[in-house]
Amino acid sequence: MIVARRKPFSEIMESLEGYDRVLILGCGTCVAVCLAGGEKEVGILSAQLSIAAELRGKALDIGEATVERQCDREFIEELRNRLNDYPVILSLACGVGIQFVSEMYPQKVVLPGVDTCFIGSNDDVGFWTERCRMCNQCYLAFTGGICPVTMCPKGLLNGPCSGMANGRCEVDPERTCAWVLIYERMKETGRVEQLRRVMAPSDYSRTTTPAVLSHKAYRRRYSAHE
Amino acid sequence: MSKLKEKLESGEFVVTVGLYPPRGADTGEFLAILSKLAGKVDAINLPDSRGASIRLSALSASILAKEKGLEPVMTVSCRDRNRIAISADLLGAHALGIDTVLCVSGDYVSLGDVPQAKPVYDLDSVQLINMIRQMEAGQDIGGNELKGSPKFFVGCVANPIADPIEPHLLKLQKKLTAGVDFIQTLDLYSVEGTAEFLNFLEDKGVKALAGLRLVTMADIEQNEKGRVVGNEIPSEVISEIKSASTDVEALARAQEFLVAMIKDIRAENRWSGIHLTMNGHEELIPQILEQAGLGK
Amino acid sequence: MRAKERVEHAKELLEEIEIGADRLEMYHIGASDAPLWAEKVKEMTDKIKSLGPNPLKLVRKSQGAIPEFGGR
Repeated sequence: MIVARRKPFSEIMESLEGYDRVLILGCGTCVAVCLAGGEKEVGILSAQLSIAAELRGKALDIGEATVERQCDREFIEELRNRLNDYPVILSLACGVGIQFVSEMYPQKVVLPGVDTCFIGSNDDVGFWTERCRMCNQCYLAFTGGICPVTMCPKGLLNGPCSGMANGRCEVDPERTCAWVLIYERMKETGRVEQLRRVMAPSDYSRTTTPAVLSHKAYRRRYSAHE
Repeated sequence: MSKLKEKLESGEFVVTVGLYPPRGADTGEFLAILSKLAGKVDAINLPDSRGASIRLSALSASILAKEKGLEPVMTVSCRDRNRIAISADLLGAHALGIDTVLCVSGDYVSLGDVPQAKPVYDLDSVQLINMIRQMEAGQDIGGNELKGSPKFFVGCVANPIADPIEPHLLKLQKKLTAGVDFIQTLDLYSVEGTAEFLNFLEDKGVKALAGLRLVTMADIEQNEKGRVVGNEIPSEVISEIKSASTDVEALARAQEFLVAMIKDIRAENRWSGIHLTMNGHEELIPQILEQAGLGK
Repeated sequence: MRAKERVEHAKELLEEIEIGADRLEMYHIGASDAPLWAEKVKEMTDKIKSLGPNPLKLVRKSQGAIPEFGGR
Protein backbone atom coordinates (compact mmCIF):
# COMPACT_ATOMS: atom_id res chain seq x y z
CA MET A 1 0.00 0.00 0.00
CA ILE A 2 0.98 3.61 -0.36
CA VAL A 3 2.11 5.12 2.91
CA ALA A 4 1.75 8.83 3.48
CA ARG A 5 2.04 11.21 6.39
CA ARG A 6 0.04 14.33 7.06
CA LYS A 7 2.05 17.45 6.26
CA PRO A 8 3.17 19.65 9.15
CA PHE A 9 0.24 21.79 10.22
CA SER A 10 2.12 25.05 9.65
CA GLU A 11 2.76 24.08 6.02
CA ILE A 12 -0.90 23.35 5.42
CA MET A 13 -1.92 26.60 7.07
CA GLU A 14 0.54 28.53 4.93
CA SER A 15 -0.71 26.94 1.72
CA LEU A 16 -4.23 28.17 2.55
CA GLU A 17 -3.05 31.78 2.73
CA GLY A 18 -5.41 33.97 0.74
CA TYR A 19 -8.23 31.44 0.54
CA ASP A 20 -11.45 31.55 2.61
CA ARG A 21 -13.23 28.38 1.49
CA VAL A 22 -11.71 24.92 1.40
CA LEU A 23 -12.98 21.40 1.06
CA ILE A 24 -10.87 18.84 2.89
CA LEU A 25 -11.04 15.71 0.78
CA GLY A 26 -10.10 12.39 2.33
CA CYS A 27 -9.49 9.02 0.75
CA GLY A 28 -10.74 5.73 2.14
CA THR A 29 -8.03 3.44 0.92
CA CYS A 30 -4.23 3.61 1.53
CA VAL A 31 -4.11 6.88 3.48
CA ALA A 32 -6.98 5.74 5.67
CA VAL A 33 -5.04 2.59 6.59
CA CYS A 34 -1.95 4.60 7.42
CA LEU A 35 -4.02 7.02 9.52
CA ALA A 36 -3.06 10.05 7.48
CA GLY A 37 -6.01 10.96 5.29
CA GLY A 38 -9.12 8.94 5.98
CA GLU A 39 -12.48 10.24 7.13
CA LYS A 40 -11.34 10.48 10.74
CA GLU A 41 -8.23 12.44 9.82
CA VAL A 42 -10.33 14.77 7.69
CA GLY A 43 -12.44 15.50 10.76
CA ILE A 44 -9.42 16.15 12.96
CA LEU A 45 -7.77 18.44 10.43
CA SER A 46 -11.04 20.29 9.93
CA ALA A 47 -11.33 20.97 13.67
CA GLN A 48 -7.69 22.05 13.85
CA LEU A 49 -7.99 24.40 10.86
CA SER A 50 -11.17 25.86 12.25
CA ILE A 51 -9.56 26.72 15.59
CA ALA A 52 -6.28 27.90 14.06
CA ALA A 53 -8.08 30.14 11.56
CA GLU A 54 -10.17 31.68 14.31
CA LEU A 55 -7.07 32.31 16.44
CA ARG A 56 -5.58 34.26 13.58
CA GLY A 57 -8.74 36.18 12.91
CA LYS A 58 -8.95 34.51 9.53
CA ALA A 59 -12.31 33.64 8.01
CA LEU A 60 -12.18 30.07 6.74
CA ASP A 61 -15.19 28.09 5.61
CA ILE A 62 -14.27 24.41 5.82
CA GLY A 63 -16.07 21.54 4.15
CA GLU A 64 -15.37 17.82 4.65
CA ALA A 65 -15.75 14.89 2.29
CA THR A 66 -14.20 11.48 1.93
CA VAL A 67 -14.36 9.24 -1.11
CA GLU A 68 -13.49 5.59 -1.48
CA ARG A 69 -10.41 6.30 -3.64
CA GLN A 70 -9.07 9.40 -5.31
CA CYS A 71 -7.28 7.45 -8.05
CA ASP A 72 -10.45 6.28 -9.73
CA ARG A 73 -12.69 8.62 -11.76
CA GLU A 74 -15.97 7.07 -10.66
CA PHE A 75 -15.44 8.07 -7.02
CA ILE A 76 -14.23 11.60 -7.71
CA GLU A 77 -17.03 12.18 -10.23
CA GLU A 78 -19.54 11.82 -7.37
CA LEU A 79 -18.19 15.09 -5.92
CA ARG A 80 -18.96 17.28 -8.89
CA ASN A 81 -21.96 19.10 -7.44
CA ARG A 82 -20.49 19.46 -3.99
CA LEU A 83 -17.35 21.00 -5.43
CA ASN A 84 -19.28 23.87 -6.97
CA ASP A 85 -19.12 25.56 -3.57
CA TYR A 86 -15.39 25.22 -3.10
CA PRO A 87 -12.66 26.83 -5.17
CA VAL A 88 -10.00 25.11 -3.10
CA ILE A 89 -9.60 21.42 -2.35
CA LEU A 90 -7.15 20.23 0.30
CA SER A 91 -6.63 16.61 -0.63
CA LEU A 92 -5.37 14.12 1.93
CA ALA A 93 -4.88 11.42 -0.69
CA CYS A 94 -1.47 10.27 -1.86
CA GLY A 95 0.29 12.15 -4.66
CA VAL A 96 -1.67 10.12 -7.20
CA GLY A 97 -5.07 11.10 -5.85
CA ILE A 98 -4.13 14.76 -5.49
CA GLN A 99 -3.07 14.91 -9.13
CA PHE A 100 -6.04 12.97 -10.40
CA VAL A 101 -8.47 15.30 -8.64
CA SER A 102 -6.63 18.28 -10.08
CA GLU A 103 -6.82 16.76 -13.54
CA MET A 104 -10.55 16.22 -13.22
CA TYR A 105 -11.17 19.70 -11.85
CA PRO A 106 -8.47 21.85 -13.44
CA GLN A 107 -10.21 25.12 -12.50
CA LYS A 108 -9.89 24.27 -8.81
CA VAL A 109 -6.88 24.96 -6.64
CA VAL A 110 -5.90 21.51 -5.38
CA LEU A 111 -3.45 21.43 -2.48
CA PRO A 112 -1.66 18.47 -0.87
CA GLY A 113 -2.32 17.79 2.79
CA VAL A 114 0.05 14.85 3.02
CA ASP A 115 3.56 13.91 1.97
CA THR A 116 3.56 10.59 0.14
CA CYS A 117 6.38 8.55 1.66
CA PHE A 118 6.73 5.07 0.20
CA ILE A 119 5.01 1.85 -0.76
CA GLY A 120 5.17 -0.65 2.00
CA SER A 121 3.45 -3.05 4.32
CA ASN A 122 1.06 -2.50 7.15
CA ASP A 123 3.24 -4.41 9.62
CA ASP A 124 1.02 -3.53 12.51
CA VAL A 125 -1.51 -0.87 13.49
CA GLY A 126 0.30 2.43 13.24
CA PHE A 127 3.53 0.93 11.89
CA TRP A 128 4.54 0.73 8.23
CA THR A 129 7.77 -0.26 6.53
CA GLU A 130 8.97 0.40 3.00
CA ARG A 131 9.29 -2.74 0.91
CA CYS A 132 9.38 -1.94 -2.80
CA ARG A 133 10.91 0.67 -5.05
CA MET A 134 9.04 -0.29 -8.20
CA CYS A 135 12.18 -0.96 -10.22
CA ASN A 136 10.10 -2.81 -12.82
CA GLN A 137 12.50 -5.81 -12.92
CA CYS A 138 11.80 -7.78 -9.79
CA TYR A 139 14.83 -9.57 -8.35
CA LEU A 140 13.06 -11.30 -5.50
CA ALA A 141 13.55 -14.78 -6.94
CA PHE A 142 17.31 -14.34 -6.60
CA THR A 143 17.35 -12.83 -3.14
CA GLY A 144 15.12 -15.05 -1.08
CA GLY A 145 12.16 -12.68 -1.16
CA ILE A 146 14.09 -9.76 0.31
CA CYS A 147 14.42 -6.75 -1.97
CA PRO A 148 18.03 -5.58 -2.38
CA VAL A 149 16.91 -2.39 -4.14
CA THR A 150 14.77 -1.30 -1.19
CA MET A 151 16.20 -2.94 1.88
CA CYS A 152 19.79 -2.00 1.00
CA PRO A 153 20.12 1.81 1.03
CA LYS A 154 22.70 1.53 -1.73
CA GLY A 155 20.45 -0.77 -3.72
CA LEU A 156 23.34 -3.16 -4.32
CA LEU A 157 22.55 -6.12 -6.52
CA ASN A 158 25.83 -7.77 -5.53
CA GLY A 159 26.14 -7.19 -1.83
CA PRO A 160 27.11 -6.79 0.96
CA CYS A 161 29.37 -3.76 0.87
CA SER A 162 32.40 -3.37 3.14
CA GLY A 163 30.37 -1.01 5.27
CA MET A 164 28.67 -4.03 6.81
CA ALA A 165 29.91 -4.27 10.40
CA ASN A 166 28.85 -7.07 12.75
CA GLY A 167 26.03 -7.87 10.38
CA ARG A 168 24.73 -4.29 10.64
CA CYS A 169 24.14 -1.72 7.95
CA GLU A 170 26.59 1.16 7.58
CA VAL A 171 23.71 3.59 7.06
CA ASP A 172 21.61 2.48 10.04
CA PRO A 173 23.46 0.35 12.59
CA GLU A 174 20.11 -0.51 14.17
CA ARG A 175 19.31 -2.53 11.07
CA THR A 176 20.72 -5.86 10.00
CA CYS A 177 22.48 -5.61 6.63
CA ALA A 178 19.99 -6.52 3.90
CA TRP A 179 22.51 -8.80 2.26
CA VAL A 180 23.12 -10.65 5.49
CA LEU A 181 19.36 -11.17 5.70
CA ILE A 182 19.33 -12.32 2.08
CA TYR A 183 22.20 -14.71 2.74
CA GLU A 184 20.45 -16.19 5.77
CA ARG A 185 17.11 -16.56 3.95
CA MET A 186 18.76 -18.20 0.95
CA LYS A 187 20.70 -20.50 3.27
CA GLU A 188 17.50 -21.47 5.05
CA THR A 189 16.00 -22.50 1.72
CA GLY A 190 19.14 -24.31 0.53
CA ARG A 191 19.97 -21.75 -2.15
CA VAL A 192 23.29 -20.25 -1.04
CA GLU A 193 25.05 -21.39 -4.24
CA GLN A 194 22.63 -19.23 -6.23
CA LEU A 195 24.17 -16.19 -4.56
CA ARG A 196 27.29 -16.75 -6.64
CA ARG A 197 25.37 -15.41 -9.62
CA VAL A 198 26.73 -12.03 -10.70
CA MET A 199 23.81 -9.66 -11.09
CA ALA A 200 24.14 -7.35 -14.07
CA PRO A 201 23.56 -3.60 -13.72
CA SER A 202 19.94 -2.53 -13.56
CA ASP A 203 18.19 -1.37 -16.71
CA TYR A 204 17.01 2.08 -15.75
CA SER A 205 15.32 2.63 -19.08
CA ARG A 206 12.54 0.51 -17.58
CA THR A 207 11.81 3.21 -15.04
CA THR A 208 11.76 6.32 -17.17
CA THR A 209 9.00 8.52 -15.83
CA PRO A 210 6.10 8.93 -16.23
CA ALA A 211 5.31 5.26 -16.82
CA VAL A 212 2.21 4.06 -18.58
CA LEU A 213 0.77 0.58 -18.51
CA SER A 214 -2.22 -0.88 -20.26
CA HIS A 215 -3.50 -4.40 -20.27
CA LYS A 216 -3.20 -6.38 -23.51
CA ALA A 217 -6.92 -7.11 -23.55
CA TYR A 218 -7.70 -3.40 -23.55
CA ARG A 219 -5.04 -2.11 -25.96
CA ARG A 220 -7.40 -1.72 -28.88
CA ARG A 221 -9.70 0.45 -26.83
CA TYR A 222 -6.93 2.89 -25.93
CA SER A 223 -5.27 3.13 -29.30
CA ALA A 224 -8.68 4.00 -30.79
CA HIS A 225 -8.69 7.07 -28.54
CA GLU A 226 -5.43 8.44 -29.95
CA MET B 1 52.26 -0.45 -17.16
CA SER B 2 51.22 0.23 -13.58
CA LYS B 3 54.28 0.61 -11.35
CA LEU B 4 52.32 -0.86 -8.48
CA LYS B 5 51.58 -3.90 -10.64
CA GLU B 6 55.27 -4.24 -11.49
CA LYS B 7 56.32 -4.14 -7.87
CA LEU B 8 53.64 -6.54 -6.69
CA GLU B 9 54.42 -8.99 -9.43
CA SER B 10 58.10 -8.88 -8.60
CA GLY B 11 57.22 -10.06 -5.12
CA GLU B 12 58.26 -6.84 -3.44
CA PHE B 13 56.48 -5.99 -0.16
CA VAL B 14 54.77 -2.74 -1.14
CA VAL B 15 53.82 0.25 0.96
CA THR B 16 50.95 2.45 -0.16
CA VAL B 17 49.49 5.45 1.66
CA GLY B 18 45.99 6.86 1.62
CA LEU B 19 45.88 10.63 1.36
CA TYR B 20 42.74 12.75 1.59
CA PRO B 21 42.61 15.42 -1.10
CA PRO B 22 41.99 18.95 0.21
CA ARG B 23 38.52 20.12 1.23
CA GLY B 24 38.74 23.24 -0.89
CA ALA B 25 40.59 24.89 -3.71
CA ASP B 26 43.81 25.38 -1.70
CA THR B 27 46.21 22.63 -2.73
CA GLY B 28 49.31 24.03 -1.00
CA GLU B 29 49.40 21.67 1.96
CA PHE B 30 48.41 18.68 -0.14
CA LEU B 31 51.18 19.33 -2.66
CA ALA B 32 53.71 19.75 0.14
CA ILE B 33 52.82 16.33 1.59
CA LEU B 34 53.03 14.78 -1.86
CA SER B 35 56.49 16.24 -2.33
CA LYS B 36 57.62 14.80 1.00
CA LEU B 37 56.31 11.34 0.11
CA ALA B 38 57.93 11.12 -3.32
CA GLY B 39 60.32 8.19 -3.34
CA LYS B 40 59.31 7.03 0.12
CA VAL B 41 56.24 4.97 -0.75
CA ASP B 42 55.22 2.76 -3.63
CA ALA B 43 51.84 4.37 -4.33
CA ILE B 44 49.36 6.95 -3.07
CA ASN B 45 45.69 6.10 -2.85
CA LEU B 46 43.37 9.01 -3.51
CA PRO B 47 39.84 8.46 -2.15
CA ASP B 48 36.77 9.48 -4.17
CA SER B 49 34.87 11.90 -1.89
CA ARG B 50 35.49 9.46 0.93
CA GLY B 51 32.87 9.50 3.66
CA ALA B 52 30.60 11.42 1.29
CA SER B 53 32.33 14.70 2.06
CA ILE B 54 33.29 17.20 -0.60
CA ARG B 55 36.97 17.23 -1.51
CA LEU B 56 39.07 17.70 -4.59
CA SER B 57 38.17 14.84 -6.94
CA ALA B 58 40.13 11.59 -7.01
CA LEU B 59 40.96 12.13 -10.67
CA SER B 60 42.49 15.57 -10.21
CA ALA B 61 44.23 14.58 -6.98
CA SER B 62 45.72 11.62 -8.86
CA ILE B 63 47.07 13.94 -11.56
CA LEU B 64 48.62 16.20 -8.92
CA ALA B 65 50.21 13.14 -7.30
CA LYS B 66 51.58 12.02 -10.63
CA GLU B 67 53.03 15.46 -11.28
CA LYS B 68 54.90 15.18 -7.99
CA GLY B 69 56.45 11.92 -9.09
CA LEU B 70 54.16 9.61 -7.15
CA GLU B 71 52.24 6.58 -8.38
CA PRO B 72 48.52 7.23 -7.89
CA VAL B 73 45.85 4.63 -7.12
CA MET B 74 42.64 6.40 -8.11
CA THR B 75 39.57 5.35 -6.16
CA VAL B 76 36.40 5.03 -8.22
CA SER B 77 33.25 5.15 -6.13
CA CYS B 78 29.80 4.20 -7.38
CA ARG B 79 27.99 6.60 -5.09
CA ASP B 80 28.09 9.85 -7.03
CA ARG B 81 28.29 8.94 -10.71
CA ASN B 82 26.37 6.75 -13.12
CA ARG B 83 27.99 4.29 -15.56
CA ILE B 84 28.27 6.94 -18.25
CA ALA B 85 30.15 9.40 -16.06
CA ILE B 86 32.38 6.72 -14.56
CA SER B 87 33.30 5.44 -18.03
CA ALA B 88 34.12 8.97 -19.13
CA ASP B 89 36.33 9.47 -16.08
CA LEU B 90 38.10 6.16 -16.70
CA LEU B 91 38.85 7.05 -20.32
CA GLY B 92 40.09 10.43 -19.14
CA ALA B 93 42.21 8.88 -16.40
CA HIS B 94 43.80 6.56 -18.90
CA ALA B 95 44.51 9.41 -21.27
CA LEU B 96 46.19 11.29 -18.42
CA GLY B 97 48.43 8.37 -17.56
CA ILE B 98 46.61 6.94 -14.55
CA ASP B 99 46.70 3.19 -14.75
CA THR B 100 45.73 1.91 -11.32
CA VAL B 101 42.24 2.16 -9.88
CA LEU B 102 40.50 1.00 -6.70
CA CYS B 103 36.82 0.10 -7.20
CA VAL B 104 34.41 0.66 -4.33
CA SER B 105 30.65 0.89 -3.92
CA GLY B 106 31.12 4.05 -1.89
CA ASP B 107 30.24 5.32 1.59
CA TYR B 108 26.59 6.27 1.81
CA VAL B 109 25.60 9.92 1.55
CA SER B 110 24.20 10.12 5.07
CA LEU B 111 27.67 9.44 6.52
CA GLY B 112 29.05 12.72 5.23
CA ASP B 113 28.41 16.39 5.65
CA VAL B 114 26.16 16.81 2.62
CA PRO B 115 23.42 14.35 3.54
CA GLN B 116 20.85 15.94 1.23
CA ALA B 117 22.68 14.86 -1.92
CA LYS B 118 21.15 12.25 -4.24
CA PRO B 119 22.88 8.88 -4.02
CA VAL B 120 23.52 7.33 -7.44
CA TYR B 121 24.78 3.73 -7.11
CA ASP B 122 24.02 3.01 -10.74
CA LEU B 123 26.67 0.28 -10.45
CA ASP B 124 28.08 -1.69 -7.55
CA SER B 125 31.77 -2.57 -7.19
CA VAL B 126 31.39 -5.96 -8.90
CA GLN B 127 29.61 -4.46 -11.90
CA LEU B 128 32.23 -1.70 -12.02
CA ILE B 129 35.11 -4.16 -12.22
CA ASN B 130 33.28 -6.06 -14.94
CA MET B 131 32.68 -2.81 -16.82
CA ILE B 132 36.40 -1.97 -16.71
CA ARG B 133 37.30 -5.36 -18.14
CA GLN B 134 34.67 -4.89 -20.83
CA MET B 135 36.18 -1.51 -21.73
CA GLU B 136 39.63 -3.11 -21.90
CA ALA B 137 38.20 -5.58 -24.40
CA GLY B 138 37.10 -2.68 -26.60
CA GLN B 139 33.47 -2.24 -25.68
CA ASP B 140 31.65 0.25 -23.50
CA ILE B 141 28.96 -0.90 -21.08
CA GLY B 142 26.28 -0.16 -23.66
CA GLY B 143 27.89 -2.70 -25.98
CA ASN B 144 29.22 0.00 -28.31
CA GLU B 145 32.69 -0.29 -29.82
CA LEU B 146 35.36 1.87 -28.18
CA LYS B 147 37.87 3.72 -30.29
CA GLY B 148 40.88 2.62 -28.27
CA SER B 149 40.74 0.61 -25.06
CA PRO B 150 42.07 1.67 -21.68
CA LYS B 151 44.09 -0.68 -19.51
CA PHE B 152 44.01 -0.71 -15.72
CA PHE B 153 45.50 -2.51 -12.75
CA VAL B 154 42.32 -2.98 -10.75
CA GLY B 155 41.92 -3.16 -7.00
CA CYS B 156 39.00 -3.65 -4.64
CA VAL B 157 38.34 -3.45 -0.93
CA ALA B 158 37.69 -6.34 1.45
CA ASN B 159 37.30 -6.81 5.16
CA PRO B 160 39.26 -9.85 6.44
CA ILE B 161 37.35 -9.78 9.71
CA ALA B 162 33.86 -9.18 8.34
CA ASP B 163 31.24 -10.73 10.54
CA PRO B 164 29.49 -12.70 9.15
CA ILE B 165 32.25 -13.56 6.69
CA GLU B 166 30.38 -15.95 4.37
CA PRO B 167 28.31 -13.36 2.45
CA HIS B 168 31.39 -11.14 2.31
CA LEU B 169 33.49 -13.90 0.75
CA LEU B 170 30.71 -14.75 -1.71
CA LYS B 171 30.88 -11.15 -2.89
CA LEU B 172 34.69 -11.13 -2.91
CA GLN B 173 34.64 -14.21 -5.13
CA LYS B 174 32.53 -12.28 -7.64
CA LYS B 175 35.23 -9.60 -7.72
CA LEU B 176 37.92 -12.24 -8.21
CA THR B 177 35.92 -13.82 -11.02
CA ALA B 178 35.62 -10.38 -12.61
CA GLY B 179 39.41 -10.33 -12.65
CA VAL B 180 40.41 -7.98 -9.87
CA ASP B 181 44.20 -7.69 -9.49
CA PHE B 182 44.69 -6.59 -5.90
CA ILE B 183 42.84 -6.16 -2.65
CA GLN B 184 43.20 -3.32 -0.16
CA THR B 185 41.67 -4.28 3.18
CA LEU B 186 39.86 -2.20 5.76
CA ASP B 187 42.04 -1.21 8.71
CA LEU B 188 43.23 -4.12 10.79
CA TYR B 189 44.26 -3.85 14.44
CA SER B 190 45.40 -7.43 14.88
CA VAL B 191 46.46 -10.36 12.71
CA GLU B 192 44.05 -12.54 14.66
CA GLY B 193 40.92 -13.66 12.92
CA THR B 194 42.28 -13.11 9.41
CA ALA B 195 43.10 -16.78 8.73
CA GLU B 196 39.82 -17.66 7.03
CA PHE B 197 40.20 -14.70 4.71
CA LEU B 198 43.82 -15.51 3.88
CA ASN B 199 43.00 -19.19 3.35
CA PHE B 200 40.25 -18.13 0.97
CA LEU B 201 42.77 -16.08 -1.03
CA GLU B 202 45.31 -18.90 -1.19
CA ASP B 203 45.97 -19.92 -4.82
CA LYS B 204 43.63 -17.22 -6.10
CA GLY B 205 46.54 -15.26 -7.54
CA VAL B 206 45.43 -11.91 -6.23
CA LYS B 207 47.67 -9.63 -4.16
CA ALA B 208 46.42 -8.41 -0.80
CA LEU B 209 47.51 -5.25 1.03
CA ALA B 210 46.73 -5.06 4.73
CA GLY B 211 45.13 -1.77 5.72
CA LEU B 212 46.78 -0.25 8.80
CA ARG B 213 46.15 3.01 10.59
CA LEU B 214 47.97 5.51 12.79
CA VAL B 215 45.27 5.90 15.42
CA THR B 216 44.66 9.49 16.53
CA MET B 217 42.45 10.95 19.26
CA ALA B 218 40.09 12.09 16.49
CA ASP B 219 39.71 8.45 15.41
CA ILE B 220 39.01 7.44 18.99
CA GLU B 221 36.38 10.13 19.35
CA GLN B 222 34.61 8.97 16.20
CA ASN B 223 34.84 5.38 17.36
CA GLU B 224 33.26 6.26 20.70
CA LYS B 225 30.45 8.11 18.98
CA GLY B 226 29.81 4.94 17.02
CA ARG B 227 30.71 6.76 13.80
CA VAL B 228 33.33 4.39 12.51
CA VAL B 229 33.98 4.06 8.80
CA GLY B 230 35.74 0.71 8.74
CA ASN B 231 36.63 -1.68 11.54
CA GLU B 232 36.21 -0.69 15.16
CA ILE B 233 39.34 0.13 17.09
CA PRO B 234 39.77 -2.46 19.86
CA SER B 235 39.27 -1.14 23.38
CA GLU B 236 42.82 -2.13 24.45
CA VAL B 237 44.28 0.06 21.74
CA ILE B 238 41.98 2.93 22.69
CA SER B 239 42.84 2.80 26.38
CA GLU B 240 46.55 2.48 25.64
CA ILE B 241 46.50 5.67 23.59
CA LYS B 242 43.99 7.58 25.74
CA SER B 243 45.95 6.90 28.94
CA ALA B 244 48.90 8.83 27.56
CA SER B 245 49.53 12.02 29.51
CA THR B 246 50.34 14.26 26.57
CA ASP B 247 49.41 14.49 22.90
CA VAL B 248 53.01 13.77 21.98
CA GLU B 249 52.96 10.59 24.04
CA ALA B 250 49.63 9.53 22.56
CA LEU B 251 51.08 9.89 19.10
CA ALA B 252 54.18 7.97 20.11
CA ARG B 253 52.06 5.10 21.40
CA ALA B 254 50.00 5.08 18.20
CA GLN B 255 53.22 4.96 16.24
CA GLU B 256 54.53 2.08 18.35
CA PHE B 257 51.33 0.17 17.79
CA LEU B 258 51.47 0.75 14.05
CA VAL B 259 55.09 -0.37 13.82
CA ALA B 260 54.22 -3.54 15.75
CA MET B 261 51.31 -4.23 13.38
CA ILE B 262 53.54 -3.80 10.34
CA LYS B 263 55.99 -6.29 11.78
CA ASP B 264 53.20 -8.76 12.55
CA ILE B 265 51.82 -8.48 9.03
CA ARG B 266 55.23 -9.02 7.49
CA ALA B 267 55.95 -11.96 9.79
CA GLU B 268 52.83 -13.75 8.57
CA ASN B 269 54.36 -13.87 5.11
CA ARG B 270 50.92 -14.07 3.53
CA TRP B 271 50.48 -10.43 2.60
CA SER B 272 51.86 -8.59 -0.42
CA GLY B 273 52.12 -5.25 1.30
CA ILE B 274 50.44 -2.66 3.47
CA HIS B 275 48.19 0.33 2.94
CA LEU B 276 48.71 3.05 5.54
CA THR B 277 46.32 5.74 6.72
CA MET B 278 48.33 8.37 8.54
CA ASN B 279 45.69 10.95 9.56
CA GLY B 280 47.81 13.97 8.71
CA HIS B 281 51.06 12.54 10.11
CA GLU B 282 52.52 11.48 6.81
CA GLU B 283 55.91 12.97 7.83
CA LEU B 284 56.31 10.01 10.22
CA ILE B 285 56.29 7.47 7.41
CA PRO B 286 60.03 7.20 6.77
CA GLN B 287 60.67 6.75 10.50
CA ILE B 288 57.90 4.19 10.88
CA LEU B 289 59.08 2.17 7.91
CA GLU B 290 62.62 2.28 9.28
CA GLN B 291 61.44 1.05 12.67
CA ALA B 292 59.45 -1.74 11.03
CA GLY B 293 62.46 -2.88 9.04
CA LEU B 294 61.13 -1.58 5.73
CA GLY B 295 63.49 1.37 5.38
CA LYS B 296 64.28 2.44 1.83
CA MET C 1 -6.04 0.35 26.48
CA ARG C 2 -4.77 3.09 24.21
CA ALA C 3 -6.20 6.07 26.06
CA LYS C 4 -2.76 7.35 26.97
CA GLU C 5 -1.57 7.35 23.35
CA ARG C 6 -4.74 9.06 22.19
CA VAL C 7 -4.36 11.78 24.80
CA GLU C 8 -0.70 12.26 23.82
CA HIS C 9 -1.74 12.57 20.19
CA ALA C 10 -4.49 15.05 21.07
CA LYS C 11 -1.95 17.10 23.02
CA GLU C 12 0.26 17.24 19.91
CA LEU C 13 -2.68 18.32 17.78
CA LEU C 14 -3.43 21.12 20.25
CA GLU C 15 0.22 22.16 20.28
CA GLU C 16 0.25 22.34 16.46
CA ILE C 17 -2.55 24.87 16.39
CA GLU C 18 -1.03 26.92 19.24
CA ILE C 19 -3.72 26.17 21.82
CA GLY C 20 -1.04 24.34 23.78
CA ALA C 21 -0.45 20.75 24.83
CA ASP C 22 -0.43 21.75 28.49
CA ARG C 23 -4.15 22.47 28.47
CA LEU C 24 -4.92 18.77 28.24
CA GLU C 25 -3.80 16.20 30.76
CA MET C 26 -4.68 12.70 31.75
CA TYR C 27 -4.18 11.38 35.25
CA HIS C 28 -4.67 7.86 36.60
CA ILE C 29 -6.68 8.12 39.79
CA GLY C 30 -8.33 5.28 41.65
CA ALA C 31 -12.07 5.74 42.17
CA SER C 32 -11.68 5.88 45.93
CA ASP C 33 -8.54 7.99 46.02
CA ALA C 34 -10.11 11.33 46.95
CA PRO C 35 -6.87 12.95 48.22
CA LEU C 36 -5.03 12.29 44.95
CA TRP C 37 -7.99 13.57 42.98
CA ALA C 38 -8.06 16.79 44.96
CA GLU C 39 -4.32 17.18 44.49
CA LYS C 40 -4.53 16.76 40.72
CA VAL C 41 -7.51 19.10 40.43
CA LYS C 42 -5.54 21.77 42.27
CA GLU C 43 -2.45 21.06 40.14
CA MET C 44 -4.40 21.42 36.89
CA THR C 45 -6.27 24.50 38.09
CA ASP C 46 -3.03 26.21 39.08
CA LYS C 47 -1.45 25.28 35.77
CA ILE C 48 -4.37 26.59 33.75
CA LYS C 49 -4.48 29.79 35.74
CA SER C 50 -0.80 30.36 35.01
CA LEU C 51 -1.33 29.60 31.32
CA GLY C 52 -4.10 32.15 31.17
CA PRO C 53 -7.35 32.00 29.24
CA ASN C 54 -7.83 29.78 26.20
CA PRO C 55 -6.40 31.82 23.30
CA LEU C 56 -9.57 31.19 21.33
CA LYS C 57 -11.66 32.73 24.08
CA LEU C 58 -9.48 35.82 24.04
CA VAL C 59 -9.97 36.19 20.31
CA ARG C 60 -13.73 35.82 20.63
CA LYS C 61 -13.88 38.22 23.55
CA SER C 62 -11.99 40.89 21.66
CA GLN C 63 -14.51 40.48 18.86
CA GLY C 64 -17.34 40.89 21.35
CA ALA C 65 -18.56 37.32 20.97
CA ILE C 66 -18.55 36.36 24.67
CA PRO C 67 -20.08 38.47 27.47
CA GLU C 68 -17.74 39.38 30.34
CA PHE C 69 -17.61 37.00 33.28
CA GLY C 70 -16.98 39.07 36.28
CA GLY C 71 -15.25 37.95 39.42
CA ARG C 72 -14.17 34.40 38.62
